[in-house]
Amino acid sequence: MIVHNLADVEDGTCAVRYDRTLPKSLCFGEGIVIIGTMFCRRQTNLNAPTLAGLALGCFAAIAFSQGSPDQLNRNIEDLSRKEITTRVRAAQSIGNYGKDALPAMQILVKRLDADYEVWQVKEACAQSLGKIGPVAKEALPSLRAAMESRHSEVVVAAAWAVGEILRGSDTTKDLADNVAALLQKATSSEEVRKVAKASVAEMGPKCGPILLEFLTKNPDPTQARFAAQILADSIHLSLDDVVAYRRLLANPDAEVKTRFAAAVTKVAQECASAGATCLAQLPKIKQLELTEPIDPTLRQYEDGIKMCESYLNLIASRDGASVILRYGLRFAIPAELFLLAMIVGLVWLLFSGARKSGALRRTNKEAQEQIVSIQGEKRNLEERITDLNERIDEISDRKAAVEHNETARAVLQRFVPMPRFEDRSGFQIASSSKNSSDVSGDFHNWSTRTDGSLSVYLVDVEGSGIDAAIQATHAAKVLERILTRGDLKESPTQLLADADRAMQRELGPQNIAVTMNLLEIHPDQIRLASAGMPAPLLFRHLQAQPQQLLAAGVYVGAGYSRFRILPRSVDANVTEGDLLILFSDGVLEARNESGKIFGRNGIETAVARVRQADPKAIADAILLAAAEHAGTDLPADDQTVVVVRFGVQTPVGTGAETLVTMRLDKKEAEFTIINAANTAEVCYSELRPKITDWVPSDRLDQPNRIWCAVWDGLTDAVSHGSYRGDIIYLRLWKDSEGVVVELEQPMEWREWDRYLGIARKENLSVGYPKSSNDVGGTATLLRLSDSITGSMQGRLLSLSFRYRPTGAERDEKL
Amino acid sequence: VTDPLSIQGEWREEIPLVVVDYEPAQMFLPKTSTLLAERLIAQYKVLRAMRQEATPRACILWVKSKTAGSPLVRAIFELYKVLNADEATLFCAGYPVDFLESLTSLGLPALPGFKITVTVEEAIRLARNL
Repeated sequence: MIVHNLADVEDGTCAVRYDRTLPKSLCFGEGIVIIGTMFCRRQTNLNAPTLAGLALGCFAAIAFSQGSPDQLNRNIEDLSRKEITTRVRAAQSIGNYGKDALPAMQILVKRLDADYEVWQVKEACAQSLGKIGPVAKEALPSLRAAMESRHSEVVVAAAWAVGEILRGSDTTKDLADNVAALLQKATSSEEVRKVAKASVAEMGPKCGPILLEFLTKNPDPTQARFAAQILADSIHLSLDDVVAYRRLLANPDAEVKTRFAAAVTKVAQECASAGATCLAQLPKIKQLELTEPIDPTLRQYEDGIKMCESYLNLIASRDGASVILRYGLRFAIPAELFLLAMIVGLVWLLFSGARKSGALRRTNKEAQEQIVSIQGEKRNLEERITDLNERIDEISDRKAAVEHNETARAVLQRFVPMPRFEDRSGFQIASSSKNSSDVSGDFHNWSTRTDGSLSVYLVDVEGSGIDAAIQATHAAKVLERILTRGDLKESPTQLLADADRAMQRELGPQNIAVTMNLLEIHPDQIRLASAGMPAPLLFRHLQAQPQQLLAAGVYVGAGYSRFRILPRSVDANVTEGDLLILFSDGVLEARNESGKIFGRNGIETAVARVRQADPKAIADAILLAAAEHAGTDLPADDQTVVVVRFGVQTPVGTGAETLVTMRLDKKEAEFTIINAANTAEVCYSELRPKITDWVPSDRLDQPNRIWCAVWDGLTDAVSHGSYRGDIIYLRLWKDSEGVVVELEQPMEWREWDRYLGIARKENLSVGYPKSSNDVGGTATLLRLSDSITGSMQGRLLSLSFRYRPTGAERDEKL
Repeated sequence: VTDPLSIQGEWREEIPLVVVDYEPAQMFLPKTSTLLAERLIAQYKVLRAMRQEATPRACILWVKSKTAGSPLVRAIFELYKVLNADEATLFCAGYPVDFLESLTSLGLPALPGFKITVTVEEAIRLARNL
């Protein structure tokens, strides 16, 4: 049945023609397509009889094609016809009969074997033999021969057919012969290799020992690597198999060795995932441990096996307690039964005693009612027991799940490093993280690069349970090795690409998604490369709205080379007071009961509350806000926040109280002061002694001169240049000429020059003040300092105080 | 100090004495300068009104606070101007030594009819000798 033109369908005048060569499934499919298309396009000009006619036509065609042996015979006849297209079409049609086409096997094999036959027919014959399936085993020699064809199409079809015929086969001999033939395709094109690999995989787990045996016989290196690749990627091995062939871990070929190690690790992980039911396998897993000296290329394997062992040991250590609890709980059930038996017995005794004594004789009806009542009670108790049993099972399952995750997390934490707060020159970095109820793989770390900058990574491995923990651990070890090595000098994008390649090379195809943000931090610049992780937020100094750092990229391990794209980085200049927040999607996607996510708004609000706090407090505050939003302390996904604050160490405070932080050395002194109710008190008691001690009193006319200038500068900065909670920076340094004081306030003072400029200084009365204009804060600053300059729209004032010449200097001058 | 700006006055040994005290935070408030000047002058005028027979030859301002700053300096200068109009001398006693540089740099000690003393007693003694 062929629809020539869909427009015909739309007109409702579709011509339906049945083609006998087409399979019935195709006829049915086309019928559905026609009717579906008509409905979807909402044709109003189609009336019910038209639709009914079409539907009937379709089903008639299907019925007509049902089990048509004549048609099969005609196809077999057509295979001997002269026209190539007829033969190809016939061969293809035969395959559509599935195992019913077994009578055609001989003729298909014949066409396949015929030297003079064109490759298109051979390809179709091979495909049809594959579709006939396991009953066509006699065709295997011909298919093996076809695999030697110079036409890759024929080879592909034959390789595929072999896999289909031997799908799940138990016959070792057949498997061995054909696996060997397929392995010979190791040097063929990628497409052939792919099909050969898939065919071996189709043959099922019985191929595992065959491939392992093949590897032990020192075969051709290319074939051996191909076999090892199939083993690692596609074959489900048993623990017994890998234990029996563990000597392959010492195979001289590195690729064979590592791929076998990957396969063994997979088996061990599956065993560990099975948990308590697999405890008996622990001795076998121990046998998989490497003996000294440990091969460096198998370091990951060694870790994996040890992790599985650790996991099973942990389960074993808890198993005793688990058994006691489980059976302890179940002990409650017989007690209920015992109670029931006691009630029944008591009632029976009363009943029989009363009857015997005659004192409390009851009628038969009453007795029966009592029995019915007792039976009802018994039923209720039985139902309650059933409920209790179900609850006990539920509690046991939940407990087992919690233990499972706790164990997995314990294993993960043992292997994945956790960074600490770091206070560097130019910026501070800290992080905070919270684990979910399930085990997933958020992890992060930072390390110093060769140029002194800091490399930071935040990774999220999507997945759950011990598998995800193990995968995350492997991923962490690969990334840790690449991203935190001592001689790090590549850009974040290069590192991302390196990590991607390394994960593909060392971990192979993964059932996990790894997203990450990779950051290079300098005191005045950051560079970010991203792989699917939420965009970090950069809060500029004194700005409430953050800037999103968008750097596109695919998942790590998904293959940048595969997708033929390069990660893109984003650069941003940073200044003192800027705040950078990196976070995993678990923070962003924390949901409340109504399903609303925490989102960027939640992060911005949380940051606004604690903007002046230190990075660790900010990270903690974001996680706390996310928990409050979600209404639970146990997040659905791992949550990690990394906070970088640029500039000098920032005080902890909210504006309610001030806190002066200081950094003093011989040449420089830096202070950070929060505008608060008690700023003046704290500045007087804490700041003044520090400044007067630091100032070289022997070389300045008045030792208190600088302090008084600072005080008056602070008076202006607090009363006019900032609000409560804002930060005022004070820096002092000594140079050859004297001392320079810098005061930076958050608010601009565009008229600073009018009050502190040279003109005002010149207009100040000489000697004592003549008018109110000659006194006050700005006049004091002009009088105390030798010169004043302003910058940053008056936000920054620099006051200089010149040294007085020493006696020797004065003499020299004279 | 319960009143954030405590201004009190009395006649001591025939000399009007104005006592000022405040928390350090007052020095960082924008309105302190004006408020302090108004209240100091008001207090002086109250004291002067108490003895109507003669204009005092001097007045003592006793700064009890441990901090000072430009608001206080400006207020002192305003008080000085009132006293100067009365041809009286202003004695400033107990000015916080840590902030004395501000006062001296502005040249206030050089003003005619303005004296600085460490203690109130010294100020009284000097005032009585006028």
